[in-house]
Amino acid sequence: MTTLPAPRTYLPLAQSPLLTGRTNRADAELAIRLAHQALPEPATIRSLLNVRTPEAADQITAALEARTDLPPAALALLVAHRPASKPATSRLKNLLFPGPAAGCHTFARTMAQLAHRPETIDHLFLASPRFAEAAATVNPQALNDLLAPLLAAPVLTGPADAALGALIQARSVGVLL
Amino acid sequence: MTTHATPPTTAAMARLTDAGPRVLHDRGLRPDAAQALQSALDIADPYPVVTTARHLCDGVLELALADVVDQRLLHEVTGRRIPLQELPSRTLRPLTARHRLSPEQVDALHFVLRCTFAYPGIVGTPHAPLSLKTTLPDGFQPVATAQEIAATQAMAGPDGLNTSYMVSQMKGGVSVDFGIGCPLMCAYCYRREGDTVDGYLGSWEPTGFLTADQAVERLLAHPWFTPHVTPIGLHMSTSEAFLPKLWPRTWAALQLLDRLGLTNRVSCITKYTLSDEQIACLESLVNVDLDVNVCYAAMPEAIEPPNRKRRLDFLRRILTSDRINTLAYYRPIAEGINTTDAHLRHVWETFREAGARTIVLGGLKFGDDHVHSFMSYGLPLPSGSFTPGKKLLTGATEKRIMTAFDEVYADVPANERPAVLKRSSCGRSVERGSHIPDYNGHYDLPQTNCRLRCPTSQHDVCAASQSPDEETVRQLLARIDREGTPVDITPSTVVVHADLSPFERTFLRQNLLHPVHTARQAAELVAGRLSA
Repeated sequence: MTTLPAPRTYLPLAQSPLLTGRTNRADAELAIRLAHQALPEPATIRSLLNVRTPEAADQITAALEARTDLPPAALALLVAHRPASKPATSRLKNLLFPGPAAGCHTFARTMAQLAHRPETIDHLFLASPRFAEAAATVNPQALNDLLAPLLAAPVLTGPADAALGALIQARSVGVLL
Repeated sequence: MTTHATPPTTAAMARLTDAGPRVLHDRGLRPDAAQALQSALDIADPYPVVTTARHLCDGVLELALADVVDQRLLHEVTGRRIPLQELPSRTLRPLTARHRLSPEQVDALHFVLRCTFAYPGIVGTPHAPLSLKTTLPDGFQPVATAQEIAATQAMAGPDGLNTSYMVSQMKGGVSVDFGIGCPLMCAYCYRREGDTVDGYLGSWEPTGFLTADQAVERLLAHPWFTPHVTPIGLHMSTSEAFLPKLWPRTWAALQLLDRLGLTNRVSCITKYTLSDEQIACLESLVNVDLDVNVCYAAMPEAIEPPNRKRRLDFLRRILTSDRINTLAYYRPIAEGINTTDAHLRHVWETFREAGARTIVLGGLKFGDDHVHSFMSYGLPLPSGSFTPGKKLLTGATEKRIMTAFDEVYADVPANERPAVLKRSSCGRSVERGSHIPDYNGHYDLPQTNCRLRCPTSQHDVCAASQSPDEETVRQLLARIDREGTPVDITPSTVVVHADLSPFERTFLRQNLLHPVHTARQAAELVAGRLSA
């Protein structure tokens, strides 16, 4: 030590100004700013959607809903984490059903959940005629792009396995019909 | 007694004097002011610069400058120069309080004090200390262009080691390496990747030497090197600075840096020793801010052969120096090899007996190559799951280490026990008296990085880290060829909207003394905080 040794004191980490001096507001402001401006990489979007503070979470959702540059993977993340978001779900539906077909919002939401939060899927919907009808008319390329990360997983388990099975089954039947 | 100011003699000074007492406050005039003030800079005696600056101001600022000269506030009582980065804490703050300086006056005072430092190389001036120079110093010819150096850096290994240019931005700072190789034969050495039985048998002598002159020339030409700011490691990545074969070059390089007036932190990590005469050499350095990090973790000698007794004698000896910052490096901690209760207790007893004040813990990096090497020698393998390039130290072992610490230091008052840190950069800041925030910004995750025994004063300094201004960030981005990259400057971090390499990020935060994240990292950081 090249300076006069000053007495050192130690406090529990919980009393550190690194924790006590920090406000959630500054972090929330940064998160909202990132939701508006950050490159829409899925990893970034996923982190932002994990913010739990209600007010910040709402503003992050609004910021992401307002963006027109979200790629399908990021849009699907938004829908999977915010299934009540109508604008995001509509845009995802339009991606999956680009033609004149009406498409299905619930199907779009379910595919987003399958790709990113399979544990939240409503399995009753998978057995419904609406699901089968939508599965038969969905754009296969858009669907493939959306589910590609899922298909790259070495093993699918639980709800993802069941939902993907239902999708394949529905599409097989739909194509045959 | 007040030192009498020398009247201005140059035409440039006369012009500045004519501009009136606000000349030091006018940023547009600062390049001229810096040039005039530095025209007579003597690294060995910087006070005439301050004396001259007194002619360019009045009132409390002039009084504050008089204090700097009268009380020799640019130096420690030992005669060592106070490093430029520590001036705000050690010189500016007391003067600000004493003279009730306004922020504008503090800024002008800081500028004058920066004029008392030399800025060799291609970066830094008193008015823009982190920026590339627009005009190189008279007679200075860089050994390579910034583009040529960047091209070699692009070929660096995954840990950043640039074996072509031999000056590399690494996590601990810029490593200046004169050669590669080390005969100490530590079986876990990660620089021996791909090494075989033959290599481990002791023939791995340092080779491929640069001279000290060449190494320093390369450093000064490197666009990522900032005078007085960049932490420097000598042989941080390739060898041992104190090996008899390397010591002459190490010492020559330290002298060169010192003669240039550089106050950068310089680190040497060692399992070797120095004689009293060599320690006296290190103690004679005036400008360079050296730290010596002595490794000891009670590793079996079959794995870490360097003589243990001599090393501990050296640690004990160098800890008595009041001119060298010394850290006890409790490294490497290898789960299952040197982590029995007896090992842990022994290490703490050893450090206690040696009088260690600042201790840094560190786990082991262990790759497949090491597995083969260890098995071929019949050495015990460490336990645990290793990730390539990452040191392993589990939370459970860390907890046992700190329990052993509490037992060994049980009869020592809490405030007299040593600091114990998880990160080298934290340890180096603490050992120097907690004048700057951790220069690697680890305090962005305090629950992970600050939970052992970091002094309250360091917590305070890290928590008070100031956001940089945008111009400074832009100057740094230009140095890594990322002009125009969007940034968000916030109280907790600087977000750079680009796919920064880990080394670019290290460069930025070590210059800014503030955390730096990519957008993805920042999102993860705030989500972690706001989801807790």
